[in-house]
Amino acid sequence: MKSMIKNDFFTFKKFLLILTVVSVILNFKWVIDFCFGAELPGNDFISDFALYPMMYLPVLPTLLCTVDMRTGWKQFGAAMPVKRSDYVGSKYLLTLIAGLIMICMITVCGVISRLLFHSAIDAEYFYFIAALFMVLNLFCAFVTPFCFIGRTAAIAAYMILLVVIGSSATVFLDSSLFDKQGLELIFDIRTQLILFVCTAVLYALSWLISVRIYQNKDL
Amino acid sequence: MNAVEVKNLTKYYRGFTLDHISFSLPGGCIMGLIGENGAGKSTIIKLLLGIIRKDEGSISLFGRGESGRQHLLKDEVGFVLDELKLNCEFRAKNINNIMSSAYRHWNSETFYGLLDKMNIPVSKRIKAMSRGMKMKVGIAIAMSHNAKLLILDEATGGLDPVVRDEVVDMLYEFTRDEEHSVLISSHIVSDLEKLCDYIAFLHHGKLVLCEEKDRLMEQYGMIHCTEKQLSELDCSAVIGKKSNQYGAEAIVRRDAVPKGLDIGPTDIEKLFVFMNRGNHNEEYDKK
Repeated sequence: MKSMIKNDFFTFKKFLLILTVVSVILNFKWVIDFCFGAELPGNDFISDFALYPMMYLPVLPTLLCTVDMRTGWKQFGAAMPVKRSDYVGSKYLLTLIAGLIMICMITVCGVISRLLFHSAIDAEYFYFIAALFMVLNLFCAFVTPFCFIGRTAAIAAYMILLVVIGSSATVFLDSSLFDKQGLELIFDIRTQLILFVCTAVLYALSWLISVRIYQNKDL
Repeated sequence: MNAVEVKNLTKYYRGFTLDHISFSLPGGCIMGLIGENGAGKSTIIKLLLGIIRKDEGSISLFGRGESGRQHLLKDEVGFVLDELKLNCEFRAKNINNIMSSAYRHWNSETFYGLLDKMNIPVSKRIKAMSRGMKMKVGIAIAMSHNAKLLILDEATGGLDPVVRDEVVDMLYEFTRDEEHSVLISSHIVSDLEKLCDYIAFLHHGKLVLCEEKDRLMEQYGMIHCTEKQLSELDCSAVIGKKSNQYGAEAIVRRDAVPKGLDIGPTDIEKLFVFMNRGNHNEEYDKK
């Protein structure tokens, strides 16, 4: 597994670095905006801009698989003393780690902003961040198995997901659900636990499906 | 003990079937896989390396059959594919880093030593290397983890004669240890002739023959005669023939040819070419 992770890391070192720098800049812009007099809105927990780099996370395994296909690493890796499940695992782990890094940056920027404006750093903020991280991983869990079928399948799955999520979000934002009560649902520890369990189960299931797909594939 | 043992290995593709291939490579020997383009050489190598899955048959490496821990056996297998299938942005240190995590017996000193011996600059990215350099890196990887078996797929293809000769020398060096075996496929039959103890000849997905090279030389020979003399020979004696207005030449089985006919020696390259041509001539003759 270690060799697979190393290969993926060396391959996408630049991409991850760019993603991190862009995230930092977008979050930093948020901090700067506040320093220049923007108000901290009551329900805004994170910068909208900070979400954009995160949208690339679910396609990270697809990008890695595409590079592997182009370079021939899939074949080279399969001939090495490494299990195919390790190849799959490295994609999941790298996505998870990249997601963790980005969410940590958003959290740190949020905490700094709140400290600057003497706002309370309450549990709600962290609940929101945790919910965001879990939803992001649900995205990844949905898209990743498709990248082991093929790049086209993965991109199609991601596009469908974006359309579904986009239209659901529009309905959700327009509906009465998105009010104080709707948000309070996220701040409930039971909701958080349910979301965590669902994410963990679906992530594991996605991992297993991907291994199953990749295990018997001719490379 | 056999380094490789393959029984009834079969792989079905649309338009091509690797058809029940069986052979074994004894430990300490070099076997060459010869065949025309699309004969199934690379398919066999990919099956042995686990890159593609077999449809039927069995593969056993070092006497150990298939099990859930098959990947561990690959620790003892070095391989060189037709291209160096690594990210072109990588440098030697990246490769060393990755391989040291993959192979239990990876030796960084050996790796860098081999690169140095082959004049490969350590700081050079793969994308800046020539085909010959890439192949040398591939060979250095294959030889840096104390592998007992080397599997090479067209490793000498596209290399200039000087580099090819160096590669052949390196393989010689490798097989000095009696535990080391090599399975190599190549179009360049002259390289295989220099190297191999055994020759496996593939044609249209079928294993036509698999013999010791010296025995092949003993069994087959070349005759130069007239068309009439050739037509008088037993069909089973003629492996392949070529004729023109000046006469005919054919590869024949020595034991099936009447005594008195002058049979000259042949080489693997001629055997390979004539075996490939054999069927075409028959079709031509029928017309």
